Amino acid sequence: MIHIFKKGTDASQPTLVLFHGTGGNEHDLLPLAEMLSPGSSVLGIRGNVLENGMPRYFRRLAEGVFDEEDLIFRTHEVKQFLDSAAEQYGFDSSKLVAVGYSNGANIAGSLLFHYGPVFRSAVLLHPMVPLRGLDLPSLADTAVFIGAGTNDPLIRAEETRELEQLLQGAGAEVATHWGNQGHRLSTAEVEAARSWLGQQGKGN
Amino acid sequence: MTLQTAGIHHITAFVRDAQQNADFYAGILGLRLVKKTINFDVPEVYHLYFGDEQGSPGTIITFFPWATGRKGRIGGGQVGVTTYAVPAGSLGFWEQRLADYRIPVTKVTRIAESYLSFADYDGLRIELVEREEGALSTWSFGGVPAGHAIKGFGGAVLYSTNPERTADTLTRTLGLEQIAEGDGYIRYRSSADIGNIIDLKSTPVPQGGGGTGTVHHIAWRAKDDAEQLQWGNIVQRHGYQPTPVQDRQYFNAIYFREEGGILFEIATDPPGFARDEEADKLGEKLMLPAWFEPNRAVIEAKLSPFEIREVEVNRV
Repeated sequence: MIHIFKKGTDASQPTLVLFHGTGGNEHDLLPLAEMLSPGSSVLGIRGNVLENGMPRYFRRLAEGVFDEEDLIFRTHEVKQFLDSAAEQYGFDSSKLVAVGYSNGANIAGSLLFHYGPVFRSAVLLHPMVPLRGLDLPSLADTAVFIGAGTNDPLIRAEETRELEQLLQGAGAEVATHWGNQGHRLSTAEVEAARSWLGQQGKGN
Repeated sequence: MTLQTAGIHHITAFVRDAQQNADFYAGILGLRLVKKTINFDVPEVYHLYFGDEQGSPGTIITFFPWATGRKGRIGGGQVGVTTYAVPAGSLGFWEQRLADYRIPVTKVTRIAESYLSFADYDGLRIELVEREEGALSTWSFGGVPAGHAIKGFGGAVLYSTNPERTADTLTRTLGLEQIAEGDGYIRYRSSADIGNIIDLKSTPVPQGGGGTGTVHHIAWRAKDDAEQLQWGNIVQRHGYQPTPVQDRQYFNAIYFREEGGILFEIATDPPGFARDEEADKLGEKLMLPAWFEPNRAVIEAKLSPFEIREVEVNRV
């Protein structure tokens, strides 16, 4: 997969895996990574699917209606890529932190749904429930931050709560930050994610 | 002065099979396939539009036939029932026709009107009601004479997870007028004479699941791009963040999900379906927007062919 790897300056920090929103690319969330965890190594991955020329991680048929077959296929594809990238770049794949926005948050969520603790922590910004009717693997050692919008036009509050419950049901520790900036990332949300991520490091 | 939408522009749903879809809406209901194109986001999926002869706003139902799609569940956050208006005195014709096609029909009454209620092959709920309003159809197909033909949408029945908020959006944001209440529904109307009566189930409906056999969104009319811009501002003023304007070739669209969970679109009346085909040839050819034309051969190869045909009645 097309990607960028930037080696960090602080080896004690976890490696961040960045998943952009629809139409983004592997560079999009680099500034966000710098805000969330300066010094971390960063792996930015570009989605392999094109929708009208816009990269995504999996196909959808319309707003909110995912092509589940493709979602599952692409989830496995990203997992294989993560495994090979860990070898190639020599990062510790047991300490990864996912950072995903929108479609990127959904693929990160799908990785947790399918593979369990692929990430030690995940910062999911404006995620949806990636897939329903799945028996989730244990996420007992995984912490998830959800950035949600009370007035997000694409994601309803009920869906955010459903995702919280599914993750908690699998044993994950979930913290949700509610903003009111629609589907956009807000400074307050990023600040909340940064502070949450800082706390995750403690006791490790 | 509050801006008021004229009413429904179109309704879009997911189904499984293109041929069955065409057989039901063209073959049995007698609508015209006014456009055969693709899902611009997923080009190997058709996007089919059925409506009156021109595909006038307020008559258009559109489908994504998605063979591998998971079956959805009709519920809250969706259009629960799509209502079609037929001329006064036509329900008897339709009752017989649906019986001829072995389609189970129930008769229901809501707010002093009688409806024939049934489902299409994918489970989408449809109903027919007699209405005086609305011009007679000029399209006749497959044994449906123009005098009994569907005129367009009577309206729609909305299932909301939060009816109070949906009611608020219908009246305060879209400018619909509440005109009646009864039988567990609140009735609203808009200014057009077709696609104009919205019945909102007044109690919350548990969240449905999107997929085949469910409506994906309901689109409301904006008379042009300038009015759509106004709508965008109004929608934002009511606390929603609509999507940027998207070019759907036959209209421009913005989307937002109202607080009862239903995906609303605001679509412009122009340019309409005759922009790339002669009015008398609508729906005959697979139409692609310019950015897909270079890939036509590949796209066509991935679409399973279907035809608009008369559906044989198997009388016992």
